[in-house]
Amino acid sequence: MNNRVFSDRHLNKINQKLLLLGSNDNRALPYLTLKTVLIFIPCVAAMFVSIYGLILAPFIFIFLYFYTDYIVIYREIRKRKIKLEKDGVLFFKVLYFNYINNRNLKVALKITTNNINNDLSKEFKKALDETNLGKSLYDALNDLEKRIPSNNINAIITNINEAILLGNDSEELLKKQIYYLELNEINFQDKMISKIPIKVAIAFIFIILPILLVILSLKI
Amino acid sequence: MYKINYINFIVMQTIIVISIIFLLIRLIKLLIANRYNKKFSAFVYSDVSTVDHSLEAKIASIIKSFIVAISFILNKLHLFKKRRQKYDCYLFINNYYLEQNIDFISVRILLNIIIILISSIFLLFSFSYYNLAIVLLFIILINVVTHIILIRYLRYYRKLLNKELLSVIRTINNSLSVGLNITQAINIAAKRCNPLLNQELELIVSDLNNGISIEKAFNRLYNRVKTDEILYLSSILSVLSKSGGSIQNTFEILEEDYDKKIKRQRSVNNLLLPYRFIFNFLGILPLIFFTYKLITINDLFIELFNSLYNTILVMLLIIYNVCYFIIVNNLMEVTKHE
Repeated sequence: MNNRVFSDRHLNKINQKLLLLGSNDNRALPYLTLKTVLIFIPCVAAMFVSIYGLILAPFIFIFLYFYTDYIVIYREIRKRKIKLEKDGVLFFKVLYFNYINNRNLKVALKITTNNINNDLSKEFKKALDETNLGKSLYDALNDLEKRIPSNNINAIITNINEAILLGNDSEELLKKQIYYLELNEINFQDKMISKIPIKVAIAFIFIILPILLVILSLKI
Repeated sequence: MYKINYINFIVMQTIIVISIIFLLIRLIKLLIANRYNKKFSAFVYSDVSTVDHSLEAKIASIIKSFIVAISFILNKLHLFKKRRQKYDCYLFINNYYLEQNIDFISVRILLNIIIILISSIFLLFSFSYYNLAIVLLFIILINVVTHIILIRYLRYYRKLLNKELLSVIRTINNSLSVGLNITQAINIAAKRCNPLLNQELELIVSDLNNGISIEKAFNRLYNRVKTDEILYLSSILSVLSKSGGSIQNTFEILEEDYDKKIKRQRSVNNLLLPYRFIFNFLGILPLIFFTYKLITINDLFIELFNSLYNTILVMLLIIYNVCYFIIVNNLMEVTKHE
Protein backbone atom coordinates (compact mmCIF):
# COMPACT_ATOMS: atom_id res chain seq x y z
CA MET A 1 0.00 0.00 0.00
CA ASN A 2 2.60 2.53 -1.00
CA ASN A 3 1.05 5.87 -1.84
CA ARG A 4 2.55 9.36 -2.15
CA VAL A 5 -0.53 11.28 -0.95
CA PHE A 6 -2.14 9.26 1.84
CA SER A 7 -0.22 7.64 4.69
CA ASP A 8 -0.39 3.91 5.36
CA ARG A 9 -1.83 4.45 8.81
CA HIS A 10 -4.74 6.44 7.39
CA LEU A 11 -5.41 3.88 4.65
CA ASN A 12 -5.34 0.96 7.08
CA LYS A 13 -7.71 2.71 9.46
CA ILE A 14 -10.29 3.34 6.73
CA ASN A 15 -9.84 -0.19 5.35
CA GLN A 16 -10.78 -1.64 8.74
CA LYS A 17 -13.88 0.54 8.87
CA LEU A 18 -14.89 -0.41 5.31
CA LEU A 19 -14.50 -4.09 6.20
CA LEU A 20 -17.14 -3.59 8.92
CA LEU A 21 -19.54 -2.44 6.22
CA GLY A 22 -19.18 -5.81 4.51
CA SER A 23 -16.81 -5.07 1.63
CA ASN A 24 -14.24 -7.64 0.55
CA ASP A 25 -11.36 -5.83 -1.14
CA ASN A 26 -9.13 -2.92 -0.21
CA ARG A 27 -11.25 0.02 -1.24
CA ALA A 28 -9.72 2.74 0.92
CA LEU A 29 -7.67 4.33 -1.89
CA PRO A 30 -10.45 4.77 -4.47
CA TYR A 31 -12.75 6.01 -1.71
CA LEU A 32 -10.30 8.66 -0.52
CA THR A 33 -9.42 9.90 -4.02
CA LEU A 34 -13.07 10.18 -5.02
CA LYS A 35 -13.85 12.01 -1.80
CA THR A 36 -11.13 14.64 -2.26
CA VAL A 37 -12.07 15.24 -5.91
CA LEU A 38 -15.76 15.62 -5.12
CA ILE A 39 -15.15 17.98 -2.20
CA PHE A 40 -13.28 20.44 -4.45
CA ILE A 41 -16.46 21.16 -6.43
CA PRO A 42 -18.39 23.10 -3.70
CA CYS A 43 -15.18 24.89 -2.68
CA VAL A 44 -14.60 26.16 -6.25
CA ALA A 45 -18.29 27.05 -6.56
CA ALA A 46 -18.07 29.08 -3.33
CA MET A 47 -15.21 31.14 -4.80
CA PHE A 48 -17.28 32.11 -7.84
CA VAL A 49 -20.38 33.05 -5.87
CA SER A 50 -18.93 35.91 -3.81
CA ILE A 51 -15.71 37.58 -2.74
CA TYR A 52 -16.00 36.06 0.72
CA GLY A 53 -15.87 32.64 -0.93
CA LEU A 54 -12.09 32.83 -0.95
CA ILE A 55 -12.13 33.05 2.83
CA LEU A 56 -14.90 30.46 3.25
CA ALA A 57 -13.49 27.82 0.87
CA PRO A 58 -10.80 26.32 3.14
CA PHE A 59 -13.26 26.09 6.02
CA ILE A 60 -15.81 24.35 3.77
CA PHE A 61 -13.11 21.92 2.63
CA ILE A 62 -12.07 21.02 6.19
CA PHE A 63 -15.68 20.65 7.34
CA LEU A 64 -16.68 18.40 4.41
CA TYR A 65 -13.48 16.33 4.63
CA PHE A 66 -14.44 15.08 8.10
CA TYR A 67 -18.22 15.20 7.75
CA THR A 68 -18.35 12.86 4.70
CA ASP A 69 -16.53 10.21 6.73
CA TYR A 70 -19.25 10.46 9.34
CA ILE A 71 -22.08 10.18 6.80
CA VAL A 72 -20.60 7.49 4.56
CA ILE A 73 -18.87 5.28 7.11
CA TYR A 74 -19.69 5.86 10.77
CA ARG A 75 -23.44 6.34 10.47
CA GLU A 76 -23.75 3.36 8.13
CA ILE A 77 -21.80 1.18 10.57
CA ARG A 78 -24.24 2.12 13.33
CA LYS A 79 -27.22 1.25 11.12
CA ARG A 80 -25.63 -2.06 10.15
CA LYS A 81 -24.95 -2.89 13.78
CA ILE A 82 -28.62 -2.43 14.70
CA LYS A 83 -29.80 -4.49 11.74
CA LEU A 84 -27.34 -7.34 12.38
CA GLU A 85 -28.38 -7.56 16.04
CA LYS A 86 -32.02 -7.78 14.98
CA ASP A 87 -31.16 -10.54 12.52
CA GLY A 88 -29.00 -12.27 15.09
CA VAL A 89 -31.92 -13.13 17.37
CA LEU A 90 -33.59 -15.23 14.68
CA PHE A 91 -30.35 -16.68 13.33
CA PHE A 92 -28.95 -17.87 16.65
CA LYS A 93 -32.30 -19.22 17.83
CA VAL A 94 -32.48 -21.46 14.75
CA LEU A 95 -28.84 -22.40 15.25
CA TYR A 96 -29.62 -23.32 18.86
CA PHE A 97 -32.49 -25.57 17.79
CA ASN A 98 -30.27 -27.17 15.21
CA TYR A 99 -27.45 -27.67 17.68
CA ILE A 100 -29.72 -29.46 20.19
CA ASN A 101 -30.81 -32.01 17.61
CA ASN A 102 -27.59 -32.32 15.62
CA ARG A 103 -24.66 -31.87 18.08
CA ASN A 104 -22.32 -30.80 15.28
CA LEU A 105 -21.57 -27.10 14.92
CA LYS A 106 -20.26 -27.05 11.36
CA VAL A 107 -23.22 -29.00 9.98
CA ALA A 108 -25.61 -26.88 12.05
CA LEU A 109 -24.10 -23.68 10.66
CA LYS A 110 -24.42 -25.03 7.11
CA ILE A 111 -28.08 -25.93 7.49
CA THR A 112 -29.05 -22.64 9.15
CA THR A 113 -27.26 -20.54 6.54
CA ASN A 114 -29.07 -22.41 3.79
CA ASN A 115 -32.47 -21.78 5.37
CA ILE A 116 -32.28 -18.12 6.41
CA ASN A 117 -31.67 -15.19 4.09
CA ASN A 118 -30.35 -12.45 6.40
CA ASP A 119 -27.40 -10.11 6.21
CA LEU A 120 -25.85 -12.06 9.09
CA SER A 121 -26.36 -15.46 7.45
CA LYS A 122 -24.73 -14.11 4.29
CA GLU A 123 -21.62 -13.25 6.32
CA PHE A 124 -21.58 -16.75 7.83
CA LYS A 125 -21.99 -18.16 4.32
CA LYS A 126 -18.88 -16.27 3.22
CA ALA A 127 -16.91 -17.77 6.11
CA LEU A 128 -18.13 -21.29 5.30
CA ASP A 129 -17.25 -20.84 1.62
CA GLU A 130 -13.70 -19.93 2.65
CA THR A 131 -13.38 -23.29 4.44
CA ASN A 132 -13.99 -25.10 1.15
CA LEU A 133 -10.83 -23.48 -0.27
CA GLY A 134 -8.61 -24.77 2.53
CA LYS A 135 -9.07 -22.47 5.54
CA SER A 136 -9.93 -24.03 8.87
CA LEU A 137 -13.25 -23.08 10.46
CA TYR A 138 -11.40 -21.49 13.40
CA ASP A 139 -9.51 -19.06 11.14
CA ALA A 140 -12.56 -18.33 9.00
CA LEU A 141 -14.64 -17.40 12.06
CA ASN A 142 -11.77 -15.29 13.41
CA ASP A 143 -11.76 -13.32 10.15
CA LEU A 144 -15.54 -13.01 10.35
CA GLU A 145 -15.21 -11.01 13.56
CA LYS A 146 -13.44 -8.25 11.65
CA ARG A 147 -16.44 -7.89 9.35
CA ILE A 148 -19.10 -7.51 12.07
CA PRO A 149 -19.38 -4.23 14.02
CA SER A 150 -21.44 -5.37 17.02
CA ASN A 151 -19.73 -6.69 20.16
CA ASN A 152 -22.65 -8.89 21.20
CA ILE A 153 -22.47 -11.02 18.08
CA ASN A 154 -18.69 -11.16 18.21
CA ALA A 155 -18.96 -12.59 21.74
CA ILE A 156 -21.12 -15.45 20.43
CA ILE A 157 -18.64 -16.15 17.63
CA THR A 158 -15.77 -16.35 20.12
CA ASN A 159 -17.83 -18.78 22.18
CA ILE A 160 -18.36 -20.97 19.14
CA ASN A 161 -14.64 -20.77 18.35
CA GLU A 162 -13.68 -21.88 21.85
CA ALA A 163 -16.14 -24.73 21.62
CA ILE A 164 -14.46 -25.87 18.40
CA LEU A 165 -10.98 -25.70 20.00
CA LEU A 166 -11.69 -27.12 23.45
CA GLY A 167 -14.66 -29.31 22.61
CA ASN A 168 -16.94 -28.07 25.39
CA ASP A 169 -20.72 -27.93 25.28
CA SER A 170 -21.96 -24.58 23.93
CA GLU A 171 -25.68 -25.22 24.43
CA GLU A 172 -26.10 -23.14 27.59
CA LEU A 173 -23.71 -20.47 26.37
CA LEU A 174 -25.81 -19.98 23.22
CA LYS A 175 -28.97 -19.81 25.32
CA LYS A 176 -27.45 -17.13 27.53
CA GLN A 177 -26.15 -15.06 24.63
CA ILE A 178 -29.53 -15.18 22.86
CA TYR A 179 -31.09 -13.87 26.06
CA TYR A 180 -28.61 -10.96 26.07
CA LEU A 181 -29.39 -10.18 22.43
CA GLU A 182 -33.11 -10.10 23.17
CA LEU A 183 -32.51 -7.84 26.16
CA ASN A 184 -30.43 -5.55 23.99
CA GLU A 185 -33.24 -5.28 21.45
CA ILE A 186 -35.78 -4.49 24.18
CA ASN A 187 -33.50 -1.73 25.50
CA PHE A 188 -33.20 -0.32 21.99
CA GLN A 189 -36.98 -0.29 21.60
CA ASP A 190 -37.37 1.53 24.93
CA LYS A 191 -34.85 4.09 23.76
CA MET A 192 -36.82 4.64 20.55
CA ILE A 193 -40.09 5.00 22.49
CA SER A 194 -38.61 7.66 24.76
CA LYS A 195 -37.52 9.66 21.70
CA ILE A 196 -40.97 9.63 20.05
CA PRO A 197 -42.65 12.68 21.72
CA ILE A 198 -39.80 15.03 20.77
CA LYS A 199 -39.68 13.75 17.19
CA VAL A 200 -43.40 14.13 16.66
CA ALA A 201 -43.42 17.57 18.28
CA ILE A 202 -40.90 18.67 15.64
CA ALA A 203 -43.12 17.17 12.91
CA PHE A 204 -46.08 19.11 14.39
CA ILE A 205 -44.18 22.41 14.34
CA PHE A 206 -42.99 22.06 10.75
CA ILE A 207 -46.12 20.52 9.17
CA ILE A 208 -49.32 21.24 11.09
CA LEU A 209 -48.60 24.79 12.33
CA PRO A 210 -48.11 26.25 8.79
CA ILE A 211 -51.39 24.65 7.70
CA LEU A 212 -53.16 26.15 10.70
CA LEU A 213 -51.71 29.59 9.93
CA VAL A 214 -52.95 29.36 6.32
CA ILE A 215 -56.44 28.29 7.41
CA LEU A 216 -56.73 31.03 10.05
CA SER A 217 -55.74 33.68 7.51
CA LEU A 218 -58.52 32.72 5.05
CA LYS A 219 -60.60 35.71 3.93
CA ILE A 220 -62.81 36.73 1.04
CA MET B 1 -68.62 35.94 -8.58
CA TYR B 2 -70.27 32.99 -10.27
CA LYS B 3 -73.85 33.27 -11.62
CA ILE B 4 -76.16 30.25 -11.36
CA ASN B 5 -77.83 29.24 -14.60
CA TYR B 6 -81.44 28.94 -13.42
CA ILE B 7 -82.88 27.05 -16.41
CA ASN B 8 -80.32 24.29 -16.14
CA PHE B 9 -80.77 24.23 -12.40
CA ILE B 10 -84.52 23.60 -12.79
CA VAL B 11 -83.93 20.80 -15.32
CA MET B 12 -81.46 19.14 -12.98
CA GLN B 13 -83.87 19.40 -10.05
CA THR B 14 -86.75 17.84 -12.01
CA ILE B 15 -84.58 14.89 -13.01
CA ILE B 16 -83.60 14.33 -9.38
CA VAL B 17 -87.21 14.56 -8.18
CA ILE B 18 -88.45 12.10 -10.82
CA SER B 19 -85.74 9.60 -9.94
CA ILE B 20 -86.58 9.87 -6.24
CA ILE B 21 -90.30 9.24 -6.95
CA PHE B 22 -89.38 6.19 -9.06
CA LEU B 23 -87.24 4.79 -6.25
CA LEU B 24 -90.01 5.41 -3.67
CA ILE B 25 -92.56 3.47 -5.76
CA ARG B 26 -90.11 0.61 -6.07
CA LEU B 27 -89.50 0.59 -2.29
CA ILE B 28 -93.24 0.58 -1.46
CA LYS B 29 -93.76 -2.37 -3.81
CA LEU B 30 -90.96 -4.27 -2.08
CA LEU B 31 -92.38 -3.53 1.38
CA ILE B 32 -95.85 -4.80 0.37
CA ALA B 33 -94.32 -7.97 -1.10
CA ASN B 34 -92.36 -8.50 2.09
CA ARG B 35 -95.49 -8.21 4.21
CA TYR B 36 -97.33 -10.81 2.08
CA ASN B 37 -94.28 -13.05 2.29
CA LYS B 38 -94.45 -12.92 6.10
CA LYS B 39 -98.19 -13.71 6.16
CA PHE B 40 -98.16 -16.70 3.86
CA SER B 41 -94.72 -18.18 4.56
CA ALA B 42 -96.15 -20.55 7.19
CA PHE B 43 -98.46 -22.23 4.61
CA VAL B 44 -96.00 -22.50 1.71
CA TYR B 45 -93.16 -24.90 1.11
CA SER B 46 -89.77 -23.13 1.20
CA ASP B 47 -88.02 -22.41 -2.08
CA VAL B 48 -85.40 -25.03 -2.95
CA SER B 49 -83.39 -22.96 -5.41
CA THR B 50 -80.43 -21.04 -3.92
CA VAL B 51 -80.52 -18.18 -6.45
CA ASP B 52 -80.85 -14.82 -4.72
CA HIS B 53 -83.59 -12.62 -6.23
CA SER B 54 -83.18 -9.61 -3.95
CA LEU B 55 -82.45 -6.10 -5.21
CA GLU B 56 -79.09 -5.96 -3.44
CA ALA B 57 -77.88 -9.13 -5.18
CA LYS B 58 -78.96 -7.81 -8.59
CA ILE B 59 -76.98 -4.58 -8.13
CA ALA B 60 -73.97 -6.59 -6.93
CA SER B 61 -74.12 -8.86 -9.97
CA ILE B 62 -74.19 -5.84 -12.30
CA ILE B 63 -71.10 -4.36 -10.62
CA LYS B 64 -69.40 -7.74 -10.73
CA SER B 65 -70.05 -8.07 -14.47
CA PHE B 66 -68.37 -4.69 -15.05
CA ILE B 67 -65.31 -5.75 -13.02
CA VAL B 68 -65.07 -9.06 -14.90
CA ALA B 69 -65.25 -7.26 -18.24
CA ILE B 70 -62.48 -4.81 -17.31
CA SER B 71 -60.20 -7.51 -15.91
CA PHE B 72 -60.80 -9.62 -19.04
CA ILE B 73 -59.38 -6.78 -21.13
CA LEU B 74 -56.51 -6.08 -18.72
CA ASN B 75 -55.47 -9.74 -18.67
CA LYS B 76 -54.55 -9.54 -22.35
CA LEU B 77 -52.45 -6.38 -21.97
CA HIS B 78 -48.73 -6.84 -21.44
CA LEU B 79 -48.48 -3.58 -19.49
CA PHE B 80 -50.07 -4.85 -16.27
CA LYS B 81 -48.11 -8.11 -16.09
CA LYS B 82 -45.68 -6.96 -13.38
CA ARG B 83 -48.05 -4.63 -11.55
CA ARG B 84 -50.54 -7.47 -11.15
CA GLN B 85 -48.13 -9.47 -8.99
CA LYS B 86 -47.96 -6.68 -6.39
CA TYR B 87 -51.55 -7.47 -5.39
CA ASP B 88 -50.83 -11.13 -4.62
CA CYS B 89 -50.42 -10.38 -0.91
CA TYR B 90 -53.99 -9.00 -0.75
CA LEU B 91 -55.62 -12.18 -2.06
CA PHE B 92 -56.53 -13.27 1.48
CA ILE B 93 -59.47 -10.82 1.28
CA ASN B 94 -61.72 -13.59 -0.06
CA ASN B 95 -64.34 -11.13 -1.38
CA TYR B 96 -67.24 -11.55 -3.84
CA TYR B 97 -65.84 -8.87 -6.15
CA LEU B 98 -62.11 -9.56 -5.73
CA GLU B 99 -61.20 -13.06 -6.84
CA GLN B 100 -58.06 -12.56 -8.95
CA ASN B 101 -55.16 -10.22 -8.36
CA ILE B 102 -56.08 -8.15 -11.43
CA ASP B 103 -59.54 -7.35 -10.02
CA PHE B 104 -57.92 -4.88 -7.61
CA ILE B 105 -56.72 -2.80 -10.56
CA SER B 106 -60.05 -3.06 -12.38
CA VAL B 107 -61.98 -1.86 -9.29
CA ARG B 108 -59.80 1.24 -9.19
CA ILE B 109 -60.37 1.88 -12.89
CA LEU B 110 -64.13 1.44 -12.41
CA LEU B 111 -64.15 4.01 -9.59
CA ASN B 112 -62.28 6.49 -11.79
CA ILE B 113 -64.73 5.91 -14.67
CA ILE B 114 -67.69 6.54 -12.32
CA ILE B 115 -66.18 9.83 -11.16
CA ILE B 116 -65.55 10.98 -14.73
CA LEU B 117 -69.11 10.02 -15.74
CA ILE B 118 -70.69 11.94 -12.86
CA SER B 119 -68.50 14.95 -13.52
CA SER B 120 -69.39 14.92 -17.22
CA ILE B 121 -73.10 14.94 -16.31
CA PHE B 122 -72.41 17.97 -14.12
CA LEU B 123 -70.52 19.52 -17.03
CA LEU B 124 -73.53 19.15 -19.33
CA PHE B 125 -75.76 21.12 -17.02
CA SER B 126 -72.90 23.42 -15.86
CA PHE B 127 -73.66 23.18 -12.20
CA SER B 128 -72.66 26.13 -10.06
CA TYR B 129 -69.40 24.99 -8.52
CA TYR B 130 -68.12 22.60 -11.13
CA ASN B 131 -64.44 22.84 -12.00
CA LEU B 132 -61.96 20.62 -13.79
CA ALA B 133 -59.50 20.80 -10.91
CA ILE B 134 -62.06 19.38 -8.48
CA VAL B 135 -62.40 16.27 -10.67
CA LEU B 136 -58.62 15.84 -10.67
CA LEU B 137 -58.63 16.23 -6.90
CA PHE B 138 -61.30 13.55 -6.51
CA ILE B 139 -59.44 11.11 -8.80
CA ILE B 140 -56.18 11.54 -6.87
CA LEU B 141 -58.02 11.30 -3.55
CA ILE B 142 -59.77 8.04 -4.44
CA ASN B 143 -56.56 6.42 -5.68
CA VAL B 144 -54.74 7.41 -2.50
CA VAL B 145 -57.59 6.35 -0.20
CA THR B 146 -57.97 2.90 -1.79
CA HIS B 147 -54.23 2.37 -1.48
CA ILE B 148 -54.26 3.38 2.19
CA ILE B 149 -57.25 1.12 2.94
CA LEU B 150 -55.50 -1.88 1.40
CA ILE B 151 -52.28 -1.29 3.36
CA ARG B 152 -54.22 -0.75 6.60
CA TYR B 153 -56.17 -3.96 6.08
CA LEU B 154 -52.98 -5.93 5.40
CA ARG B 155 -51.41 -4.57 8.58
CA TYR B 156 -54.51 -5.45 10.60
CA TYR B 157 -54.48 -8.96 9.14
CA ARG B 158 -50.84 -9.49 10.07
CA LYS B 159 -51.49 -8.34 13.62
CA LEU B 160 -54.44 -10.70 13.91
CA LEU B 161 -52.34 -13.57 12.56
CA ASN B 162 -49.63 -12.93 15.15
CA LYS B 163 -52.20 -12.89 17.92
CA GLU B 164 -53.92 -16.08 16.81
CA LEU B 165 -50.72 -17.96 16.07
CA LEU B 166 -50.10 -18.61 19.76
CA SER B 167 -53.43 -20.37 20.22
CA VAL B 168 -52.84 -22.38 17.04
CA ILE B 169 -49.44 -23.55 18.27
CA ARG B 170 -50.95 -24.41 21.66
CA THR B 171 -53.59 -26.66 20.06
CA ILE B 172 -50.99 -28.26 17.79
CA ASN B 173 -48.75 -28.88 20.79
CA ASN B 174 -51.58 -30.45 22.82
CA SER B 175 -52.66 -32.73 19.96
CA LEU B 176 -49.05 -33.79 19.35
CA SER B 177 -48.68 -34.76 23.00
CA VAL B 178 -51.78 -36.99 22.69
CA GLY B 179 -50.13 -38.83 19.83
CA LEU B 180 -51.64 -37.42 16.65
CA ASN B 181 -49.98 -36.82 13.30
CA ILE B 182 -48.86 -33.29 12.39
CA THR B 183 -51.39 -33.03 9.53
CA GLN B 184 -54.14 -34.13 11.95
CA ALA B 185 -52.89 -31.59 14.48
CA ILE B 186 -53.02 -28.75 11.94
CA ASN B 187 -56.47 -29.95 10.85
CA ILE B 188 -57.78 -29.73 14.43
CA ALA B 189 -56.21 -26.28 14.86
CA ALA B 190 -57.82 -25.07 11.63
CA LYS B 191 -61.30 -25.86 12.91
CA ARG B 192 -61.00 -23.76 16.06
CA CYS B 193 -59.25 -20.59 14.92
CA ASN B 194 -60.44 -17.32 13.36
CA PRO B 195 -62.04 -17.64 9.87
CA LEU B 196 -59.32 -15.47 8.31
CA LEU B 197 -56.56 -17.74 9.63
CA ASN B 198 -58.65 -20.79 8.85
CA GLN B 199 -58.15 -20.19 5.12
CA GLU B 200 -54.38 -20.25 5.47
CA LEU B 201 -54.29 -23.39 7.60
CA GLU B 202 -56.63 -25.22 5.23
CA LEU B 203 -54.32 -24.28 2.37
CA ILE B 204 -51.44 -25.85 4.32
CA VAL B 205 -53.45 -29.03 4.89
CA SER B 206 -54.31 -29.24 1.19
CA ASP B 207 -50.64 -28.72 0.32
CA LEU B 208 -49.63 -31.53 2.68
CA ASN B 209 -52.29 -33.84 1.24
CA ASN B 210 -51.06 -33.15 -2.29
CA GLY B 211 -47.54 -34.26 -1.43
CA ILE B 212 -45.65 -31.08 -0.55
CA SER B 213 -43.31 -31.39 2.45
CA ILE B 214 -43.96 -29.56 5.75
CA GLU B 215 -41.07 -27.11 5.36
CA LYS B 216 -42.15 -26.09 1.86
CA ALA B 217 -45.80 -25.70 2.91
CA PHE B 218 -44.84 -23.31 5.73
CA ASN B 219 -42.41 -21.52 3.41
CA ARG B 220 -45.31 -20.88 1.03
CA LEU B 221 -47.28 -19.47 3.96
CA TYR B 222 -44.39 -17.09 4.67
CA ASN B 223 -44.38 -15.93 1.04
CA ARG B 224 -48.10 -15.18 1.30
CA VAL B 225 -48.03 -13.37 4.64
CA LYS B 226 -44.43 -12.28 5.34
CA THR B 227 -44.28 -11.85 9.12
CA ASP B 228 -41.35 -12.49 11.42
CA GLU B 229 -43.08 -15.12 13.51
CA ILE B 230 -43.94 -17.35 10.57
CA LEU B 231 -40.41 -17.03 9.18
CA TYR B 232 -39.15 -18.29 12.54
CA LEU B 233 -41.59 -21.20 12.49
CA SER B 234 -40.91 -22.21 8.88
CA SER B 235 -37.13 -22.03 9.25
CA ILE B 236 -37.19 -24.16 12.40
CA LEU B 237 -39.41 -26.77 10.75
CA SER B 238 -37.18 -26.90 7.69
CA VAL B 239 -34.13 -27.34 9.92
CA LEU B 240 -35.90 -30.11 11.84
CA SER B 241 -36.63 -32.07 8.67
CA LYS B 242 -32.92 -32.12 7.83
CA SER B 243 -31.30 -32.64 11.25
CA GLY B 244 -33.98 -34.78 12.86
CA GLY B 245 -35.35 -34.53 16.39
CA SER B 246 -38.56 -34.46 18.34
CA ILE B 247 -41.22 -32.09 17.03
CA GLN B 248 -43.00 -31.94 20.36
CA ASN B 249 -40.01 -30.48 22.20
CA THR B 250 -39.53 -27.78 19.60
CA PHE B 251 -43.20 -26.83 19.67
CA GLU B 252 -43.04 -26.52 23.46
CA ILE B 253 -40.11 -24.10 23.21
CA LEU B 254 -41.90 -22.25 20.39
CA GLU B 255 -44.95 -21.79 22.59
CA GLU B 256 -42.87 -20.19 25.33
CA ASP B 257 -41.16 -17.93 22.81
CA TYR B 258 -44.39 -16.67 21.24
CA ASP B 259 -45.88 -16.10 24.66
CA LYS B 260 -42.93 -13.92 25.61
CA LYS B 261 -43.09 -12.01 22.33
CA ILE B 262 -46.81 -11.25 22.58
CA LYS B 263 -46.44 -10.01 26.14
CA ARG B 264 -43.67 -7.66 25.00
CA GLN B 265 -45.84 -6.44 22.09
CA ARG B 266 -48.70 -5.66 24.46
CA SER B 267 -46.49 -3.69 26.82
CA VAL B 268 -45.08 -1.65 23.90
CA ASN B 269 -48.60 -0.93 22.66
CA ASN B 270 -49.63 0.24 26.12
CA LEU B 271 -46.63 2.57 26.26
CA LEU B 272 -47.45 4.03 22.84
CA LEU B 273 -51.20 4.47 23.45
CA PRO B 274 -51.20 8.03 24.94
CA TYR B 275 -48.79 9.33 22.29
CA ARG B 276 -50.90 7.84 19.52
CA PHE B 277 -54.06 9.49 20.89
CA ILE B 278 -52.50 12.95 21.27
CA PHE B 279 -50.74 13.03 17.90
CA ASN B 280 -53.77 11.83 15.98
CA PHE B 281 -55.76 14.62 17.63
CA LEU B 282 -53.10 17.16 16.57
CA GLY B 283 -53.35 15.87 13.00
CA ILE B 284 -57.12 16.46 12.89
CA LEU B 285 -56.81 20.05 14.25
CA PRO B 286 -56.66 21.71 10.76
CA LEU B 287 -59.92 20.00 9.80
CA ILE B 288 -61.66 21.34 12.93
CA PHE B 289 -60.48 24.91 12.23
CA PHE B 290 -61.47 24.58 8.57
CA THR B 291 -65.03 23.53 9.45
CA TYR B 292 -65.24 26.50 11.83
CA LYS B 293 -64.18 28.82 8.99
CA LEU B 294 -66.70 27.20 6.61
CA ILE B 295 -69.55 27.86 9.02
CA THR B 296 -68.60 31.45 9.81
CA ILE B 297 -67.63 32.75 6.32
CA ASN B 298 -70.26 32.63 3.53
CA ASP B 299 -69.41 31.15 0.11
CA LEU B 300 -65.94 30.06 1.23
CA PHE B 301 -66.26 26.63 -0.37
CA ILE B 302 -67.24 28.06 -3.78
CA GLU B 303 -64.47 30.63 -3.60
CA LEU B 304 -61.81 28.00 -2.83
CA PHE B 305 -62.51 25.98 -5.98
CA ASN B 306 -63.17 28.96 -8.23
CA SER B 307 -59.66 29.44 -9.59
CA LEU B 308 -56.91 26.97 -10.37
CA TYR B 309 -54.44 28.64 -8.02
CA ASN B 310 -56.69 28.15 -4.99
CA THR B 311 -57.44 24.50 -5.79
CA ILE B 312 -53.75 23.68 -6.15
CA LEU B 313 -53.15 25.30 -2.76
CA VAL B 314 -55.90 23.21 -1.16
CA MET B 315 -54.53 20.02 -2.69
CA LEU B 316 -51.02 20.82 -1.45
CA LEU B 317 -52.34 21.43 2.06
CA ILE B 318 -54.18 18.09 2.05
CA ILE B 319 -51.07 16.24 0.83
CA TYR B 320 -48.98 18.04 3.47
CA ASN B 321 -51.44 16.97 6.15
CA VAL B 322 -51.40 13.34 4.99
CA CYS B 323 -47.58 13.40 5.14
CA TYR B 324 -47.80 14.13 8.88
CA PHE B 325 -49.85 10.98 9.49
CA ILE B 326 -47.46 8.85 7.42
CA ILE B 327 -44.40 10.17 9.32
CA VAL B 328 -46.02 9.68 12.72
CA ASN B 329 -47.16 6.14 11.90
CA ASN B 330 -43.65 5.23 10.75
CA LEU B 331 -42.21 6.56 14.01
CA MET B 332 -44.67 4.56 16.09
CA GLU B 333 -43.65 1.20 14.65
CA VAL B 334 -40.82 0.39 17.02
CA THR B 335 -40.93 -3.40 16.85
CA LYS B 336 -41.06 -3.56 13.06
CA HIS B 337 -38.42 -5.70 11.39
CA GLU B 338 -36.46 -4.39 8.38
